Amino acid sequence: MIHQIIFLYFATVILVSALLMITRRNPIHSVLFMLLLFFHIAGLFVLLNAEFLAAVQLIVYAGAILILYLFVVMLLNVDQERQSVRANRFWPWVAAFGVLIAGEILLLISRSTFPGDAGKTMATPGAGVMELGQALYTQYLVPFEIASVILLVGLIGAVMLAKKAVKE
Amino acid sequence: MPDMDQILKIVYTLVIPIAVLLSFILANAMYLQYVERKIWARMQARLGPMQAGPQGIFQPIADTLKFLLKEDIIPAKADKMVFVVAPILALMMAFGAFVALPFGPDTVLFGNKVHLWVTNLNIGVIYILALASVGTYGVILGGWASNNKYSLMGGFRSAAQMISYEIPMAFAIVTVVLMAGSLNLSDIVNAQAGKWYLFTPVGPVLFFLYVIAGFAETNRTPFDLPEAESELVAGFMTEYSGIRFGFFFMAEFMNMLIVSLLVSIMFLGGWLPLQILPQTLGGITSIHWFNKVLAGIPPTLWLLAKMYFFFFVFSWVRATLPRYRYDQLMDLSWKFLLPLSLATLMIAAFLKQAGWL
Amino acid sequence: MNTAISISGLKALLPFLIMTAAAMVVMLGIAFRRDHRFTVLLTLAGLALGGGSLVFTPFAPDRYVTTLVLVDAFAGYYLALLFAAAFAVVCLSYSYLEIQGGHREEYYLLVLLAVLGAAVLAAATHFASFFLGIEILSVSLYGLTAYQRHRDQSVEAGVKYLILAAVSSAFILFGMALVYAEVGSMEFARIAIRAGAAGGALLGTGLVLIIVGLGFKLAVVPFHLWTPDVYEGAPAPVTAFIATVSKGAVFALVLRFFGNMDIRVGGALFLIFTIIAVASMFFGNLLALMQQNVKRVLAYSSISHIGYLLVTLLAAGPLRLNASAFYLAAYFVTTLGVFGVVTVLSTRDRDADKLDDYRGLAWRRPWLAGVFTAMLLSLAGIPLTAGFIAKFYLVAAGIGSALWLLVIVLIVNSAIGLFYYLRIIGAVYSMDGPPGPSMPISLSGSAALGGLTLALLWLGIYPGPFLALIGSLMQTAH
Repeated sequence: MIHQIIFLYFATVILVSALLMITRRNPIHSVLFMLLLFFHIAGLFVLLNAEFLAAVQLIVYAGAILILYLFVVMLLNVDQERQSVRANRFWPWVAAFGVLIAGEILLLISRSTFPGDAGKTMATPGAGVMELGQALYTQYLVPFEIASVILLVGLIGAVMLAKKAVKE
Repeated sequence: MPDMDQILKIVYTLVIPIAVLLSFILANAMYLQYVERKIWARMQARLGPMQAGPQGIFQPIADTLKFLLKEDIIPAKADKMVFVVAPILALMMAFGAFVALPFGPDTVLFGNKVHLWVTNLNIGVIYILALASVGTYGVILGGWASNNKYSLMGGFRSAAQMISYEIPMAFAIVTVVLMAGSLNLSDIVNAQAGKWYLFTPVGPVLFFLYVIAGFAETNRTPFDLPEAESELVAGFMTEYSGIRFGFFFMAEFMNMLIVSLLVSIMFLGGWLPLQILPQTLGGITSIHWFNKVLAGIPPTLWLLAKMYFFFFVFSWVRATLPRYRYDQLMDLSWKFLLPLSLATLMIAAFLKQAGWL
Repeated sequence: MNTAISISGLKALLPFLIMTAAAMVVMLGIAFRRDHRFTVLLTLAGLALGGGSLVFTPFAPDRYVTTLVLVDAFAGYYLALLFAAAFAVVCLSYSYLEIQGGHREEYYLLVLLAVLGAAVLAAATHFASFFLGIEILSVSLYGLTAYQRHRDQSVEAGVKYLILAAVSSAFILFGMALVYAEVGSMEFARIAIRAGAAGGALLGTGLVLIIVGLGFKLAVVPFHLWTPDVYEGAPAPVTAFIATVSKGAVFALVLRFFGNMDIRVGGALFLIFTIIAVASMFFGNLLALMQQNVKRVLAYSSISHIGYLLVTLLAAGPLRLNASAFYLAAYFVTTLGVFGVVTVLSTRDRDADKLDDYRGLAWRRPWLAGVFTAMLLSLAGIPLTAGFIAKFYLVAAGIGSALWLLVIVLIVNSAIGLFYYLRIIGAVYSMDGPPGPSMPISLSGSAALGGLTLALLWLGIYPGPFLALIGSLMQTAH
């Protein structure tokens, strides 16, 4: 009962802040709503007893990625962005398409069965950190290491593109 | 409907601990400011606040009243929503981190078993790291919303600084976690029974890393560039006044306390008592006797003593050291602390595997 | 089941480890000595080592390394193909970048990492490795596409590729989530079983979304819109890389992922792939007819070629893996050859992508014109070239499974395609070209082109041994 109320609270806030995020004209406000969104997604993870994921969600998304967005957005000219045209005459079509797809997915999910452990709460709060670590370093070691290569690629690409041109 | 027992349970496990914690924090934030000013004054051969009450003892109350009663000015061109939210965000993150800190082992008080924490998270360390990383928002948003170039630059500086020092700090913490084998702060303390991590082979390096990063994270001297008054007026706080300024101020103090507590918990054995030449060297009765006295002091007092000691170190450093230059600050983090922390982590992993830790 | 990686598992991962190590060595090499030739030599050595390690890699049909990577003969073949193609691309890049100024060394770093991503794709049997491979490949390609930062076109191409690749990755991820929601597993084999038996709506939707994402990467109609712009804007050797290594690796993954599934005639997946194949063939060829820019022609031509290739996915029977393996090899050689010619003709200021650049080429540079002609004829599928044998195999595989519609469309399109290839060849041999004072072609460029031409003729005239090799390799894979 209480669980469900809390879930509903999180879900509502997630939806509302997501909507506000894409409709705000001021990009900084958008970022703030996104922060709210991330917090409540972390809350959902806590509800599922996946506290580690919740914390990682905050560290990675809120603490790293979104801060970077904020930097970029603040260095841009916000006023200009506020006055620019955001929706052209096609927007009703696009919106209708979005609603259609969302409805389709809702329909799909409502009619589908899910296998055993999808969406189940973890046994005890905070459990699973050890299991997670062990899975990452045994079964998923290969992708874990490969994922680090992705970061390397991103780093190299960004440095390369942003580097000052050399004088000849 | 939840019955009486449930309500009582919530009161016991949630309301009372939070209230106690909150009053503890408030009292500390108020009075430590006074203590700090007195410390600086002593170090600089001054008297410090003397007017309000004997030795200026009521100065904090006067300050608090001033914060509360002063006109709350929001600059006309400021972004109102963000301007209002920023200090609250900063304060919430700081308080959120406090919630997960343990202040001692389970104790028996008035015949009841009492936990000296609000919540004992299994992932306490990661949780605090997460909140520390989100704490940057208050500063950067406050700086931006003020619509003032000094504020904005202060906010940017602070965000860049906090992000940069978060990494070596996280590595230092991860190494401690590696040594303790747990993310739970209570477990980390208990794992130090008989060997404080400061006195292990890699301990001093980690301690050094964490303290440096902690100073930078809390924007304290010698890393107080975000509010360098000679360059940026008051940095991101320039436009803030009244209670909102008070919020930022409190958040900063709380962060300092958190760092002090974490240093005590992770390196100085938390609430474990100091033992001089422990059992291994035993035989000298007088020391043995002295150790027993030390062990007799309540654990929470030990933790608080360590915390206050570090608070003193914070003030001491502030009264002593000049400020870093910005590029030196960044170099220190990325070119020195980060490689050092990575190397330490690897060495610690090796030592742990070899059984020498 | 013991999930930890054993020593033999590590041995099976040898090519991947070598590629990663090569990237590290090149990175440190750049840090210590910024020298174009030195970096290229390191890169080539890394690729050669990676290719050489395939000889020692213990390929086996069940050589799963932790359920995420399957190092069987199928993967081995594609790894070899990818490494070889990358080797050629690096040779061509050297001659291309040597005349450009600026920092050139990081380029090779990105190439090496992109090859690693492609290699992961070729061996992936799990959503995790699938997605990571695709991301490494795409992220490297963002950088490579925009490498010529001083050219607006290059930057524009990079941004377009970035946005579309990111969108397609989002499609793939969402598709994966839906598939996982229904199947409860991310392993290809288990998804294939479920998809064959009684796939529900979620699984179907998920698969369609994955097809959309992969369609972007493969540039098949209707997900092809980025292709001409990116082909045109990217530096010529990078375009060659996108056309070969990137698409080849994704196609290997498509074969692995959908090849396990029971794509029955008349089923939804069959229908989708048929439509995509037919549309790609027609759109690719018809739009290529209207292009004036050689790189754009080649872009549309590559769209139609992937359309041809999809026939092998739909065909049943053992022939289809052989057909796709051979087709990709021939396509790699030919495409690299064509772009090789474009590369060596490019100048410091711009790539040689106008039809006028090729007018009268035969009288200025007869050898180069000969190579170019041979490559174009192979793309068109004229006998005595690799392209002919490859197309022959496709048709054979199609007829073997009675895919009459696809076979007829394929043949009709080959005829259409001939037209625009011949138009370029006509320009090459026209008498009114400018008398070009031409600079010498670099050694590495001519070596790469020479090798590719030899490979083309070998595959075209005497394909027996190679076909036998493919046959023996693919027999062990399924």
